[in-house]
Amino acid sequence: MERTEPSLSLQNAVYIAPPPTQTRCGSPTGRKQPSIIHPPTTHQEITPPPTPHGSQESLALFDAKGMSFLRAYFPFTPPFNPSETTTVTLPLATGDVILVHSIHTNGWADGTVLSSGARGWLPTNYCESYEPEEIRNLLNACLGLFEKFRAGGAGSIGDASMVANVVAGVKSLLDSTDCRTRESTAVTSSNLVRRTRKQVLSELSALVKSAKKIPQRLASPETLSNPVEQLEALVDEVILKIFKLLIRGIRFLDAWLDHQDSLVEIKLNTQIPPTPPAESENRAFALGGNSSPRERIDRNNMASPTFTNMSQCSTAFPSCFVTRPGSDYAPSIYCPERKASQLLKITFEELLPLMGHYIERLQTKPQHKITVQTGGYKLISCTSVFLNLVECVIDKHAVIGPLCESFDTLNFTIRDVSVANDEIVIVSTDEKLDDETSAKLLELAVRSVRTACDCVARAGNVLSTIGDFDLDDVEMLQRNRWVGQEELVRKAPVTEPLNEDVSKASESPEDGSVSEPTRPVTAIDIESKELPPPPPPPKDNVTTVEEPSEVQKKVDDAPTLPKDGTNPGINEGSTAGGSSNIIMQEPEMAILAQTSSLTPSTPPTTPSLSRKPSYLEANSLSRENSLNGRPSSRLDSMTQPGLLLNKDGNVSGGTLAALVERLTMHDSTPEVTFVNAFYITFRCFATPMDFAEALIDRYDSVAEEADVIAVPVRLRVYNVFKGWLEGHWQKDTDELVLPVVEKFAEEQLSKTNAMAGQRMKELAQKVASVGGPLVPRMIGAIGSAHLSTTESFPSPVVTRSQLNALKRPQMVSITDLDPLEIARQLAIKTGKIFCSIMPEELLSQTWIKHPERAPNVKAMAVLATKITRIVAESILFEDDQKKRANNLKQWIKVADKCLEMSNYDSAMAITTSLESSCIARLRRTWDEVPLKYKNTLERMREVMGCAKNYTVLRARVRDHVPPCIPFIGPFLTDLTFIEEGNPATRPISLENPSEGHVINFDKYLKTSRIIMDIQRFQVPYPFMEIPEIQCWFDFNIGQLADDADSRAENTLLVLYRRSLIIEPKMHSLEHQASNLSTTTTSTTTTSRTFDLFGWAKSSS
Amino acid sequence: MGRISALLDGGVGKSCLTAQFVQNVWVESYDPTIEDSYTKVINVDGRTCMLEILDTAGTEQFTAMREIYMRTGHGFLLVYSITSLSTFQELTELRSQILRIKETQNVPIVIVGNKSDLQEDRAVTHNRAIQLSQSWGRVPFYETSARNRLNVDEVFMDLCRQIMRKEIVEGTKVTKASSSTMDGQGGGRKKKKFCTIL
Repeated sequence: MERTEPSLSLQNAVYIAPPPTQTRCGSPTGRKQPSIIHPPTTHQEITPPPTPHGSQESLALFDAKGMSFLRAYFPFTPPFNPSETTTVTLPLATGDVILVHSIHTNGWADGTVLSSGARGWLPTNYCESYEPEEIRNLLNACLGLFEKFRAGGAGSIGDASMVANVVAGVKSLLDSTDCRTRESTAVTSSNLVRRTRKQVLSELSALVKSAKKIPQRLASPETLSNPVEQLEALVDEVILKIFKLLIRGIRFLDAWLDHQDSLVEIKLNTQIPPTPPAESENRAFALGGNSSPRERIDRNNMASPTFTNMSQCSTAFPSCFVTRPGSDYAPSIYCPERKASQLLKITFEELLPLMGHYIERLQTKPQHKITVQTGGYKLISCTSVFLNLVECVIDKHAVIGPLCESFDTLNFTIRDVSVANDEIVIVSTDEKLDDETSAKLLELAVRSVRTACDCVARAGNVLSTIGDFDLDDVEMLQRNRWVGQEELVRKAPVTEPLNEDVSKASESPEDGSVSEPTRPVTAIDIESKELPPPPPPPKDNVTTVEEPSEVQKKVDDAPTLPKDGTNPGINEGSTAGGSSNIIMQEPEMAILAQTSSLTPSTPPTTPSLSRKPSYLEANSLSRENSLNGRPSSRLDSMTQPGLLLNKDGNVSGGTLAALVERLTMHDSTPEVTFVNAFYITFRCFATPMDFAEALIDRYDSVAEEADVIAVPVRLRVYNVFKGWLEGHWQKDTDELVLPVVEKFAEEQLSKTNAMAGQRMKELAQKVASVGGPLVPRMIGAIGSAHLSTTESFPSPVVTRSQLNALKRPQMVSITDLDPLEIARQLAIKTGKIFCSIMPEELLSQTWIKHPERAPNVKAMAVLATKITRIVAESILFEDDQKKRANNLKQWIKVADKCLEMSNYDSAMAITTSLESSCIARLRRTWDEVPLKYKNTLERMREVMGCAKNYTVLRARVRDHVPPCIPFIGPFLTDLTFIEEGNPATRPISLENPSEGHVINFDKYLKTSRIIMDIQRFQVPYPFMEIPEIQCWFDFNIGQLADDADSRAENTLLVLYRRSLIIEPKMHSLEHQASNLSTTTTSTTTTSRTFDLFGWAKSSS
Repeated sequence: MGRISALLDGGVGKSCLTAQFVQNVWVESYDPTIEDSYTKVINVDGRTCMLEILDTAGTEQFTAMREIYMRTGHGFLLVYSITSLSTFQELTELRSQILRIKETQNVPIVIVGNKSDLQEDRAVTHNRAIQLSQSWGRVPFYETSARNRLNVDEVFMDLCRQIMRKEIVEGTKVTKASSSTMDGQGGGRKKKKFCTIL
């Protein structure tokens, strides 16, 4: 069906019908080939197929198709399981612009999202072709440059003409928008246009600068030794800049179009929707009215999320969006922001301007009904997304508090808005809203703003107590049907006839035929099913004006997306020919696993407005239930024998078999926390062999069951095995199991699911050769991507003369360097060790009982101790009192900087040293330190004091966004206490212990929570490493090494003796003082004549 | 309120001791991450006393931190395992470090031989511990079993009593030596007692 599409003009492609794909991936013949799985030996094979060659003619090709760039019009959240690390379906935020590499016939496109740099599959029906006339030249030029770099690699980069094209593109953008000069009207009259224009220009100059470096680097002699690696970084940098330039350009254009629209709105207030500005007879508006309201709405809507994305990308831009041979990149690892706090913030930032706009409209009377209603729908849909998020937080918190109140209020208010909005009956387009309704809506809207603010503040509070968490997509999707979306959908037809009035174009027959083939469902039905069907397009295929209803429907549709997931045939489905098959099967698996469970587990709740219970009600209900079901604290044995749940519904105990069953339920996806806890800790309560056998038993146990049970269970067993092999394999403990795993894959799994069997066998073989988890830990992976873009690093604070001096480290004192730079280098040094701490080091008190198996925890302790000593010695071994005070002051500054960059570990090490008895007692030295610095130290002491189990420090760390190196002490203490305070097993029934014991999973859940909390911070700092300063540290640490093997206590004695030499005790005076003073504080020294005095004597 | 610090090399089960003391009744699941998990209100000789226990179990490798913990604590439990002679021998060094940091000989200390339920593995005799106690000037000595909850409360009570006594003595001393102001001396004190378990 898509075949007909190219004949239609680009202008009509409101819904992008995927063009025939002439790229390798999509050729139908390829896909019909029997499923041969090529082992993914190189990265190229696991990435989407490369784009056509980067020559000018291919550019023209793209141009003709108009498909080189897409813009997302609906947010899309891929329904994948976060533990399923191989998924490459990308999430989309509305307004995202995507560089398309190829489009599959079923409607999925392989593309790179410019703002995040992530590459993967995305549904084209959520996007629209993006190619406004104004920016087209720039898009093409950037595309050309991008293609050139990609195709030609390092070699062909020499020519500057490509960059010149980009410059010309920017020029043409500015020309066509009449913003060439700073004095032009648009620039002078709109702040946003001016600002974004400036950003475009500065980004362009940065790009030109970077591009120039490449020929230089090519010529430099050091490149000859390792040209590929040398250039990769540079090429990455340039490509990154291309993307950024594009984003800026698009932002500028958005701002400009908005500005134009606002002008028009003023002029032609009576006409709705506003017509495009007269001078721009261009593509953006050539769609004859249908696209202009859409674009307008989206721009208004999306301004903030786009900006948020952009600010993120400037720091966390993964450089690896382009796959080159030899690059470390696996697209699956890219992890979008899923922190609850972040999502809340983004949604709120989106919601607020929307509300503001709505209120503003209502205040300027009279208003057209249609405008108000449309705005209302938008507001409602956005609020419902916001409410979903808040609800996730409430659920996590599981406490009824002020947040629930705000939630309920907002929910009810927005429900009222929805009702009032629906009551607006529109007869003709010119109809104005009556004052009464207007006032009512205004009041409701103002109230919603207030409650939404409350909600955000309270959710923030809750998050600060319970800690930030990752939001599960599934969770989000399941909730996605909030606030009366049903109603809204039903209302859609009411407004539809009106749309026809408004936009004449919708009546043209072309529209129908264009949108028809875009329904990828049909493609899926006909073709083999190697890709998840893209979410069905918004039903309103006329695609004219009815923005809100479309959004609603989309949201509505999303959860049910790949309905046919349970079909076992999917797995046997042939794979797309050539290189892309590996990735394709992965998301499919994931989605299959998700949906098959999703549908039954979430009963077809139709959370229409009226039925949604208030949060308080719901909670009290569930509490009652749990109380009633409580007496034996045992789960209904019918559903799952041998499994205990606590009152929060978390697994608290169970036999290994029951836990494995929980991992592989036929009707629901296992909770992410449960799965992660299991993977991290299972070796504490079972041998790897037990685990593997339990999984195989589980697989066998469903042999007699109907397909509807057996298939998902088996698939999940496979998924658990896969997750283990890919992400949690430990060679030394798990190696024994490999033969069993391989045998299972070969003899059992391949019989029911040939592809899965094959894949698992490959994984097992791979694991045997690699010796560790195949997929690097998610966090670390992001971190390294982070590191490779030096672009966003702050420039180091070090002068050439300092670097020169550092060549002789023994001559450089702490005061010769800048405290900020010392702190940065400390963060790098400590961060390296901290990021390499493995979960297994933290289990079962390994770091205490077998320190040799916990090298990184030990290294953390050693480094902290050494830093403490460096600090102490730099002060104590300085004879001059003034210099001593200076050194002291400098260390306070360094500690303060450490704290500023959230490196609590180093800050703790330094302050510990400053507070140690040998330093703290140097009263005369302290007298020379300005009060300001003493106060700084005092402040730090408050933050890092150990009072009340490090309450202050814990609270601070909880809210932190990485990068941050927390002081690891409290984590270790918690782990110790969890280990020792909780037994390994628990009785099945409290009343009747004779019934036996099961694994106390609660203990392991707690353990894994702490470990995951640590892992959350395992992100390196975005600082440039300065080898000279690192060497200086190493040198100083090396200086200490001479007495490294002597006991810590002895070292302390040496230091204390030294302390007494430089500032001897004032014997008689202080003796008196000791009689007077009531308590001995840290700074006053009293003189009891115990052994210390002896040392002073002996050393003097 | 008092602060007891607990410090000793791993494997002694001192964190078990703390957990047992704080949670009083056996609970299904012990969560150390909450603030309350290291504080307890106890009644000593008719006086209510809030004890804050600083137990840094698990961080023994961070030797530099030890000094801070020692300085923070008002009283110390020096815990060894009766099944391990080396843990017993370390006590002497710990005590001298405490005395040095506190810069006084008068520090509330209790010697605790834990794991008394493991009699068959005993490596430190009763007598040996008593000797040590004598040589330190009759420092109280208990054998405990965190597992069986034997002598757990007693140990903390004893230490708390010592801390309180010390405060009173020093309080009166001050009033004698100089009439400097002391808020709420004697029975009226509400100061926290910080205990460090060693």
